[in-house]
Amino acid sequence: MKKFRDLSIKTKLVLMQLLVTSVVLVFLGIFLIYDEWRNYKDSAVNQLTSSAQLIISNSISSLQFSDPAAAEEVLSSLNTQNEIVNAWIYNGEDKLFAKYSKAGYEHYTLSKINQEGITFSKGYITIAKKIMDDEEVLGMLSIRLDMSARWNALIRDIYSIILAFVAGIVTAFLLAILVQRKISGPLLELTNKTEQVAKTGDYSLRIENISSDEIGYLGSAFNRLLEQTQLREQELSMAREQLQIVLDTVPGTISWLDSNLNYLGVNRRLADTFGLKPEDFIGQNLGFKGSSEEFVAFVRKFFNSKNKQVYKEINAIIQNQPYTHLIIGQKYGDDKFAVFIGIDITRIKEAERSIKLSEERFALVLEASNTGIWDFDILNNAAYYSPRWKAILGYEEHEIKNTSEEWENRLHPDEKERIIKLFDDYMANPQGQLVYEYRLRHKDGTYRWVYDRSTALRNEQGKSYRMLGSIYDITSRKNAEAALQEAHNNLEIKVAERTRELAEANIRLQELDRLKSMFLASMSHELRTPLNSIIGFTGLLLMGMAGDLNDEQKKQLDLVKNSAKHLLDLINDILDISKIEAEKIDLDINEYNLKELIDEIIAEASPLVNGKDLQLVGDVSNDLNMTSDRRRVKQIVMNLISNAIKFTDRGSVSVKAALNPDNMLEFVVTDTGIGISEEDQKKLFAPFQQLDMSSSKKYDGTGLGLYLCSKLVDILGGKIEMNSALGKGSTFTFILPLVYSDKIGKEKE
Amino acid sequence: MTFNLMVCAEDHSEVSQNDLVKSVFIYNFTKYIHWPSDDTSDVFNIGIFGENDINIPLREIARKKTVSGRKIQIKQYNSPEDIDHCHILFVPSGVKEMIPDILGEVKNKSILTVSDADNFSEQGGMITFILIEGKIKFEINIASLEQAKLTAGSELLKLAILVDENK
Repeated sequence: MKKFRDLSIKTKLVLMQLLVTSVVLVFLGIFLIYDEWRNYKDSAVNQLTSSAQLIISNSISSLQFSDPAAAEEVLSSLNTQNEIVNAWIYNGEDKLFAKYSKAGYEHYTLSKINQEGITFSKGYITIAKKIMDDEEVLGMLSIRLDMSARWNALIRDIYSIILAFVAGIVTAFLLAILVQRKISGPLLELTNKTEQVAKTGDYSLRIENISSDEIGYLGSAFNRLLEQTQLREQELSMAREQLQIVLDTVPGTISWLDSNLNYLGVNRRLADTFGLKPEDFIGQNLGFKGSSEEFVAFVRKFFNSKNKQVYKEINAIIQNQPYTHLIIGQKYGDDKFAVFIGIDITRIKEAERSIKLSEERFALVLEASNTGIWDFDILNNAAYYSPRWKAILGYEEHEIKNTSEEWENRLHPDEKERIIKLFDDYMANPQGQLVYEYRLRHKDGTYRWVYDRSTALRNEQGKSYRMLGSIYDITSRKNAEAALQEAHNNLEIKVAERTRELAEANIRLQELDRLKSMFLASMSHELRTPLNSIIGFTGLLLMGMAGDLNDEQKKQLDLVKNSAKHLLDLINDILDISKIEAEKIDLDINEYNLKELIDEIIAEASPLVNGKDLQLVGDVSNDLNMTSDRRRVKQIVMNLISNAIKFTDRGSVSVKAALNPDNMLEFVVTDTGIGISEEDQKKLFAPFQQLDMSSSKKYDGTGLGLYLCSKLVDILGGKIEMNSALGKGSTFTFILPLVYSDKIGKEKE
Repeated sequence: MTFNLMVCAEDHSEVSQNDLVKSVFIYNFTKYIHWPSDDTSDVFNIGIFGENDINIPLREIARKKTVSGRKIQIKQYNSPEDIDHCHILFVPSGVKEMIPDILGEVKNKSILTVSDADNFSEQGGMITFILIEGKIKFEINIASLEQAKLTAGSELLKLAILVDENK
């Protein structure tokens, strides 16, 4: 059976009304019945009493004069009363004096009653009364009344009351059902709305049709509650958001756990550290992937301890990253949960380590560098001198006190004033570092030169409050400087003399050199004219213009022609060189296509390959244009290619031209020839040098080609170099500016 | 009756049951008889004519009882001339020869005359004890009562056997 508490309000209301009605009716019924019964009894007693009184007053004389017949006559008057069924009179001697019995009650006898009173027994009331005359007891009267008629009347009354009771209950029940609707209707709405709110969390719902009684008040209170809850909810969610933002903004990790070691929440920074989201943590046990083993151990220990608060540095590897966290744990709510705030001090620790390292290093360096440190606390007139500082002046640690006077008093008297002024001026307006040299008195009385480099620290108002400096003993350097100065003074005189002599000789030499070049320039020209005639006419002879020649003649004429050509080349080269050296070379600067130039060179050089197993390769892109002296560039490349062909019997000779990263044109001439020994490479670009003189027969040449090349490259603002090894071929590389400018040429000069 | 015990307690010689009943009856008569209101005596006198055993229980009653607050005094008369002021006069049957003289003496006096002699009522006596079926009853002569200006209560009359000498 349901408890009353769990019944619906509807049922409760009905039950309560029924209960109240029942209780009232039952009490009323009981009272009515009791009252009725009492009335019946009282009236019976009254009836008996008055009857007895009457009998007594009428029977006194019969007793006084011992006349039972008279007494019985008196008693017989009772027959008018239906309910009085027996009456007895005993005389003073306790003998039955007179007796009355209604028809049907004759068999009933009464034992003598000695005391006055009323007794109830088995549906009868018996009254006993003394018959008295004045003080004298004459006898005793007893009258018995049958209550059955009254009893029956009472039972009829009870039936009526029960009937009224039932009618009352039924009416109350019907009324209760009607009334409860008025009360439970609004309550049911309230209940439904409450459930709806609980289910949907929609605090915007409201109770409508509000009456002005207590239930209506409840409804409006409910509405107010909802309004406030809605407001609170908004405030709460705002506060929660703000809290989350604050938690996420805090430069540390925050987590809070209950005493079962389950996460109640974490901030975003903590979740990010593990590559998780804050929601992933809620409800998880401590041991899950979002906690480091060290943290787990720490938290367990903390919860097992009686401490309310704990600090600890924890080193852990998280996501393969080493971390050092300073964790602060605090228990709350009777140790039901705890908050842990972690500050990532990995960097700080690293910084501490490196500071410590650098401090140690610095100390070592200072020690090793013989540098003494001093530190003036200007405001407090305190000073610090490092052990080395004291050692420089020959003192032990304890021999110099930490006052600025210790320094001042050791200044050289000659410069004391100057140094202190310098020092004060700098402090008044510190700019950069103060670097100065001065003397300090050594323990042995001599003065030591020190090199002092100091810096003032200024506060926000620009006032110097501290000055730090380092001194270095430069006494030996000062001494050496003095000696050097003296030597220097002597040397300078000698050097000036020699320089003057050399300058004179130089001027003479330059003049001579110029004259030589001029001579060569003009002489070369004169020499070329007859040679051209020789070559020209030898050619005519070889072509058979003057008649057929036999083989021997042809062979000898070829020799003549080749020798003449060689001589011409030699003269041309000498001419060029002399022009260059006489600074008489004229450059003809134009823009031209490099591809065309290289093709031209390949074409002109190809006859030289005759009879050799050689491939001649030119490699340059089509669209490269160059602004320079075309003839000279061609001369350089031609020279290098003909050299390469000369020393290569098989394989290939290639020329490559391209822009290098510096936007310069890079020419590379590569061969697969005999190569050049390392030793020979050194003198390669010197004039009149033919390598391996023994082989000069096989590789004839002027010996001026590479010298000329290097000079020309120089003039055009470039650079040449080579790379080779004996038997492994050679590579000549030179770079030239893409566009020649006078400036480059002049700078070179 | 209630005096039984009291009487038995006395050391006197045996009193007959009848005398006892009679003496009680005599006392009880005082409750139903009304004497004229001019009687102002403060003693209630009961007279006994001649020697008779009844004086023992009567004296006993007189010792213990009062009549309307008045003490009871027992007087004994030996001749009719002796009879003076009294309220009740008992005339025993032993002196029945003297009844006419006695009644003549008390005539016109408010004295209740009581006797156990036969024909007392016929001779003008007021109350006469008679024995019926072994029980003592009494006759009342209402005319005599009225003559003596005495009245009897209805209760008493109801129990008495009424005698009318005029009949």
